[in-house]
Order: sequence, then structure tokens, then C-alpha cells
Amino acid sequence: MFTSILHNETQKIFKRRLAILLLAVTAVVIMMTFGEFYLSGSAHKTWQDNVNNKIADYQRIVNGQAPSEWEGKLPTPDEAKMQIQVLQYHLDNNIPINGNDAGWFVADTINKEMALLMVLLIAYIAAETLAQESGEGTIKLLMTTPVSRWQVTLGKYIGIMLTATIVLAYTLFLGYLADGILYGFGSLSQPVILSPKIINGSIDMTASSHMPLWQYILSGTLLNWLSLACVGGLGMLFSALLNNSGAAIGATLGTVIGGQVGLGVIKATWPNYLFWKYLTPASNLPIDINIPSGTQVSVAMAVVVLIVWALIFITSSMFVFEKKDILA
Amino acid sequence: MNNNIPILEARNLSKTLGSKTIVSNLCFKVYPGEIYGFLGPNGAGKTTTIRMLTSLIFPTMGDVYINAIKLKENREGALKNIGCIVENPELYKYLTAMENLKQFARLKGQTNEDYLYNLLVKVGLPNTADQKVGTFSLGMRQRLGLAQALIGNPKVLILDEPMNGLDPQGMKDIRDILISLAKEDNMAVFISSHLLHEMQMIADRVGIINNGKIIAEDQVSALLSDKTLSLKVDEPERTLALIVNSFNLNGTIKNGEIQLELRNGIEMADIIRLLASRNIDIQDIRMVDQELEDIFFRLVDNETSYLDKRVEGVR
Repeated sequence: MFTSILHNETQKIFKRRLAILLLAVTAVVIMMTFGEFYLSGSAHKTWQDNVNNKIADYQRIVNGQAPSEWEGKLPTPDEAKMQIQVLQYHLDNNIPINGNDAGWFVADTINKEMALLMVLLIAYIAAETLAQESGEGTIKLLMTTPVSRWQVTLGKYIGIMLTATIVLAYTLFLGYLADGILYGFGSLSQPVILSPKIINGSIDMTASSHMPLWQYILSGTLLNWLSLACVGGLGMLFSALLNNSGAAIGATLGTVIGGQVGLGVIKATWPNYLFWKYLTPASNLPIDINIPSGTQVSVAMAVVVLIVWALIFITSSMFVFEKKDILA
Repeated sequence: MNNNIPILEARNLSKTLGSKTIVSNLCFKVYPGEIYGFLGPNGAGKTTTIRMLTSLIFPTMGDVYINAIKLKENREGALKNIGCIVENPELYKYLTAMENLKQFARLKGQTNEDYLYNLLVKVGLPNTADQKVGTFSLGMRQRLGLAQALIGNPKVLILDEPMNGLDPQGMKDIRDILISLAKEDNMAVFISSHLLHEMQMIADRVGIINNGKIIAEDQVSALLSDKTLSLKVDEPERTLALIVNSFNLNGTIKNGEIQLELRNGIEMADIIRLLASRNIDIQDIRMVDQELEDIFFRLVDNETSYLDKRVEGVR
């Protein structure tokens, strides 16, 4: 019986939303690749150019010549020295960071910059589901069939996560293809150095772990998928609580964005246990050498927090809908 | 199936929302092969009752039994026996007629496409299988809603205003389908409507609900067996008082004519004899056929003022 529910719910969401979602991410990826390619003209920078620029920036911090507009999140001169060491190590050993090729585009642009867009899109379609059926009245016929309510709620959630998986996979593929055509595909097995180890005040690169680029991409994608599972559950909860899809969408997006903005200014550690902190987790991965070590997020922590919140949201939405009088 | 055992039963069904009692202590039984008309003005509690029968909302008190299964205890088991339309049949507009039917058919464990196609033919929607429901008229959606309710040949049909939006031909089609389902397939049909004329044509029994309570329940034929006499005389008030005093009958004056409910074996001849003995000239005298509508208004008006109900749009 549950497979029938699943069949129904995926049919509904695919027919209704899949095409528009794929169209939206296609437009964004095309703008990010082809748009940037034509705007930058012939002046395509190599990864070495970027690294050299960064080294020059850090050098100014070390020398105490940082421009005043940099103030705020500035690393200390000691941290800047370490960053220079890391960057120089990459240059000396010809290990690219933030390269131009397709693998790096997916790792940086798709997994990090597009993560928030994905979160908002999935929050939107999750908030729609139940509330839209209430608003349009179709929930009445659906819930007079001999199926249990919690199974319908779960079926809808799985339908949303299938949609999220398809959209995520499609975006990775499209981004890889588009960037590869323009800048070359490069190697997916090139090494990415993780968490440079600091020993006696200097960086010991040989003690640092590393992984191939494809694995780095997949870890980022997995974290993003978990954050989608989390906001998908949040959307379902508002969708079960409210009878109007506009209200449910507003409440969900408001909670996602409001929480991120609000928690961004708090320096305490308790926000580390809230899901907002990890909604765009790939951009906080410890392997990003631009982030000073103090604010790095543990991958394991992100995984656990996101899974726990996703479970809380989905079980509460099942509970809420199970007890609800359908007055639509 | 034993036709003396109710297939659908409400026992002391009550629903309170906040401090407002919508439905209180409702009891009725519907038997196989019977068309039960559930009548009442807007706001009487019809839709609330139907939602409790179909488990869309939960009763504050009381129970629903479908095929002797307690809805509260075995929701899915009980719902297997019913097919419904609740208010307007809101179907998925972005899916075709067949896709819509399949959505419900899957959940009822009945996915044979030929079977579903035959249902479309039965409700008068052949050749629409691949049409998007968004393009359907209200009448077509009512028909598709009925097809959806019929999936799996349920023992009870629960229909909330199934004639809404249908043209006269559509009403006749649906009427014929419902009568054949009840009489030939022994299906119980519980049907709420404010189209009293329609109900008079198809219902075997009716329950009339007002302010959340059933105020009358009987065979339609029994309700209609009351005889009404219409009488035109020069001084209707005085004459009415005379008749009421002599025979202990109920009567009213409508458009200058006396309307008398005849009972206790009193016939038209007795009235004529009485008036003749008092030298009262009779300008016109005739028996009037009762309509369900007359009975409905009389019963409902006893509780609330006639005008309120007219404004609510009972007619």
C-alpha cells in the first residue's frame, strides 16, 4: 500500500514542479558559466594567478598594511602567515586550489554558492505539498481513501526528497558539463588537501590528510542533501500546520532565512546545535583554507545535527497531520 | 448481505468546535440497497456530519460504524467500504481524468485500466480519459467525482451535494445511476442535498437536520402521505377558527386560502358538511399534493423563522 502512496505522491510533485525546478537551476547554471565566460573575455585567470593574489593579500596583513575596508573578519598576522605557507605549498607542488576546470567549478560554485538556492527551492515545494492540497480541497478525497495519514505525510516527504535528489544530481551534471565545455574538464582525481596540520606553530603538510577532488565534491553534495532533508521536513511541518500554501511557504522561508540571519551575529556555541548553522554546510567545510581554523565546522557534527532535526521535523509533521481535523 | 443490518450507522455523534456545538447526539442507520436523503438548511451540520462519517474530522463524542466496523478503532478497515464525494469534487487539475482515477484506484487496490475506463463510460464521460481535469466543467467534475467514488464497488456511497452544477440532463443521469446502484447492486447511498425535489424523486428515506439535530426521519412515502386541503371562502380567519374548533385540525392561511392538514380520518366531505350547515359559501375546495419541500419548511420553520432559511438559500 505504501508503494501506491509513494507512486501517487511522486507523480503529483513531478507533474507539478519538477520541470520548473529543473528550468530554474538550468538558468542559474548557464548564467554562472557562460555568462561569466563571456563577461571575463580573454582574461581567464589560472588558479596560480588567484593563489598569488591571495598570497599578496595575506602579505599585506602580515606587514600591517591591510586596507581599512578589510576590517572585521581579518585573520591575525600569525594566521595570515600560515595561510601563506599553505598557499605556497600548493604552488610549489602544483596542487590546484579553486581551479578553473569543471571539477573545481562543481566543488566551489555548485556545492557552495548554489547551496542556499537549493535550500530555498526545496523549502518552497515542501511547504506547498499538504497546504496546497488543503487549499485546493483535494486533501478531502485523498483522506477518505483507506490509507493512513502518517503514510501520506511520509509519502509526500519521500516524494520531495526524490525531487531534491534529482534536481541536485542534475545541477551537478549540468554544471560539470557546461564548465567543462568552456574551461576543460580537468582531472577529478587531483588531490585536495584537507585540514592542514599545525605543528609547533608551522604547517606540516605531510601530516595533513587529503582526498581526490571527486570525493571532496561528493562529501559537499552529501552535506547539501542532508540540509535539504532538514528544510524539507521543516516545510512539511508548516504545511501540516497551516491550511494555506502561501502562509506555509512564507512561514518556512521566513524561518530558514530569519534564523540564518539571526544566528549569524551570535558568538555563543549553542547555535552549533541548531540546523540553521549547517544549511549551506559545504561552504563551511574545514577544507576551505580561507576559513580561520576557529570557526571551522566539524563534518560529523553537521551530519548529526542535520539528521536529528530532519527526524524531529518529519515525525512532528506526521503527528500534527494525524490529529488534525480536515476542514478545508 | 442482510438488508436488515445497517451498513452505515451514527451513534450519538457530536462535534463541538471551541464553544460552538455544530452537531449534537446524531443517530441514524442506513441499510443496504437504500437511498437515504440527508436534508437540512445551510449551516445545519450536514457537511460536518459527512466529514465525521468519512473520518476527515474526529467526533467530540459518539461513534460511526461502517459495515459494523468502528471507524475510530479501525479507520482504514472501515473506509475500505465507502466511496465519497465531500462538497465539490476537487480533483487534481494538472492530471488527466484517467490519471486522477488511477490516483484513487491505487489507494483502493484496484488498478485495472479497462475497469476504470468503464467507470468513465458509466458516469457519462467517455473519451475524456486523456483530458486534463483543469479543462472540465463543474458538471463533468461531479461526474468524475462520482466515478472516483465508485472505484472498487463500495458498500456505501457517501455523497455531499452530488447534483451541484449539473444541468437537468446531468441530474437525471446521476439520478438513474444512483437508483440502479441501490436497487440492482444493493449499495447503500447516503446523500446530502438541498435539492428537495430531487430527493423526493430518489430517496427511500430522509433525515432532516436542523441546528445540529435530526428533527425528523421517515420514509419519504410516509412523510408525503399527509393530506392537505386548500379551501377558499369569504372570511378565512373566522372559518379557520370554526374548523379548528370543530375538528381539532392544524391549518394556516396562505394567499387568502385556508390550508388544512387532514388527519384522524376526517375527509373533505366532513368539512363541506360543516360549512354548509353554517351557510358558509365555498368558492373553491381541492386536495393539494404534498411536496417534500412543504414538509421540510414546516419542520424547519417550527424551529427557526422561515425568512432566515430563505435567505440562507435553501431553495
